[in-house]
Amino acid sequence: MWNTVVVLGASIAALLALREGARYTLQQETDVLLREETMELALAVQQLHPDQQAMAEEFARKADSHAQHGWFVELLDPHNQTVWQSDNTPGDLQPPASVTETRFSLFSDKDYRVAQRRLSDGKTSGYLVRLGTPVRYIHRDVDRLMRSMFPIALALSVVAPLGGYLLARRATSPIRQIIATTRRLRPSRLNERLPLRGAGDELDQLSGEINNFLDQIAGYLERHREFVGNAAHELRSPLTAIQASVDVALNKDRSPEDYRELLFTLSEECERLRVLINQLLTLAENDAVGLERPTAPTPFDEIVHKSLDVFAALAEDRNIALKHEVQSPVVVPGDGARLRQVVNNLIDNALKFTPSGGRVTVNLCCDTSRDCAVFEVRDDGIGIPREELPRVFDRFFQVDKSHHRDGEHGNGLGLSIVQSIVQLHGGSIEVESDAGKGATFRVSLPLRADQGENRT
Amino acid sequence: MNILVIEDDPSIGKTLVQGFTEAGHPCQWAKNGNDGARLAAEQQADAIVLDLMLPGAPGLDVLRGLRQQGIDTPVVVLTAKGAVEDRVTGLQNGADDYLVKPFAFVELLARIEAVCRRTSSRPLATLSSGPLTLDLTTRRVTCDGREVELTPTEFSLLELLMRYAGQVVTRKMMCEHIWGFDWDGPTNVIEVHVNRLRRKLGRQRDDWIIRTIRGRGYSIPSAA
Repeated sequence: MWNTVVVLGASIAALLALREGARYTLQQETDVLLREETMELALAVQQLHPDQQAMAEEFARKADSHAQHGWFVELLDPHNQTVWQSDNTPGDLQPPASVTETRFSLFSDKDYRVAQRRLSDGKTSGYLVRLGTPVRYIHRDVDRLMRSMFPIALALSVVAPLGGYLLARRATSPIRQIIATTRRLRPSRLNERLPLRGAGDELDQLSGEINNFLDQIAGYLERHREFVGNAAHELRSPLTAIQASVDVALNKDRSPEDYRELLFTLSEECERLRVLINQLLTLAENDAVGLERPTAPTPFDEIVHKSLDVFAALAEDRNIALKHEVQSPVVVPGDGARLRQVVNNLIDNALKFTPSGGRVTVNLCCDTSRDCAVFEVRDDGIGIPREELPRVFDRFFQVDKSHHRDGEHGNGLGLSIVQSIVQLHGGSIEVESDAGKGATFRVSLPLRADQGENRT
Repeated sequence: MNILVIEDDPSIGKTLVQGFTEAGHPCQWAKNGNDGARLAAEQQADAIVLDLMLPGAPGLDVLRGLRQQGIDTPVVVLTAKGAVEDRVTGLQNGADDYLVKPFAFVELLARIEAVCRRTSSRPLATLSSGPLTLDLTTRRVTCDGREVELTPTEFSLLELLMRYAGQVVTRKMMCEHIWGFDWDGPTNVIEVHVNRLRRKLGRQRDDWIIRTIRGRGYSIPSAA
């Protein structure tokens, strides 16, 4: 409603402005015309003098040509005595300002708009040519214009708000759709997506962004569900083993040696549980929303050297060549203990899947073009089948359990932990491998705390 | 050595009391913070095991109270939270050591004996035990009078074993000692280094100085 009032007010203001504008423009137009015609008349007087008859005809013609605007023409001699004037010349017109005035001048009294010129040379010197028009004609024209404009303005004041309302409704309909769809979404029901109209405008972009966001949340929840399921399974296994051993042991009396044996088994299962729980907590901690990206300057090269020192003995025992090329210094913003886990897990993994006589290569360098530290562990072990590559970082994923050496335990969390730590540091990890062709894991960590990808 | 256990969980408390008693340490058990604070003030225990999550008075309050009363009995804090901040707060409030649950009893015992030793004697420049001598400043190691070359990792593991001579050192303690935190990968790196150490110390298989304590860890005998 008040929309209409506003539009109406604006229309009236526009009309008033238009009237003043039109009046001004018409006046200007008239002035120009009067001036031109006055010059022409002045010339005619000079040329036709002293032929009174021809002059009168010329004057009458000029006056007649603009009769509908009430033009009148007047010729005065140097003593301001009328030589000739058209019939409609008003009697109450002001006398010329000055007898000696020769310039063209324009004056208006309240009823008339008058142009006058006093001739300056020749026989007609001192004669005054006057051409005028009553102001009411200008007003009449303006009023005519206004009368035709008023209905249009009135119609506009009604149509504009209505049209505006319809347009706004049309423009916000996708927004209302977005609101309706979003309202239907629940954490348990995230399969619905906002429709795209294919217009490629800002609203489509907004819908697209919201859809992306929903995809991420849905993906996160799906992974979370899977993770909890897997975690429950993995936690149950050692617990089941413990419970079963105890139940069986209590079935009948046994020798102290048997009991001792049972206790050793229990102790090992407990240790397995402890490691698993710690790893699950590590993952949960790294994933925690709001965990700040660690930024303490950390000597990455020293971490790699330390790990190499410790794992060298293992490689030697297993007859695996552990080669390395480590650039120094490489300092990254991060958390030393977490980065150590990345390095340890990757080297440990490579040694685990490399047969005797094989080779593991560890490289660390700075990629100045990308402004990041690149840590790479390459082995020529059994590799990972191409089709399983996308899943290697999935929690609890293990390529092939038959390759574990005796006494080695793995629960498929190591690489997930590595990935979560790398992402926490704003870095990225990639893997290249194929069955029988070894594997290369490459970690890129930003050298500055303000660059790199943010976690999704 | 008299030990005061302040722990509300009945099964953990019971196990600790039994463990300490059987290890030859008379033990008292307070089941909440207030009793714990009273017992700690009344009886002169040689060491206190303090759970941080207690009904009554929270563990940290008990600890602060003890230190304010001028009771400087060594305290080993037990916590279910492993977060670094918790450990730091514990140590800042006057704890001598901390242990994250779940833990091996042998580790708790070893740590209690270590903090008691630490508070009662000056830090040592050399560690020795039986045939072994380890100079912490020159980092020289001799075994049976013969000098032994060790890698930094081997030296560090041997130092840990000798600090806890006569006690069991778990694989977890060794991992923490090497890496600065409890990292334990699928491959048994610790075992590899212990075996190398044994060979370098030059004894035969049935006479190894570093003994395997099945299901628990490793140990070297204390100097008799």
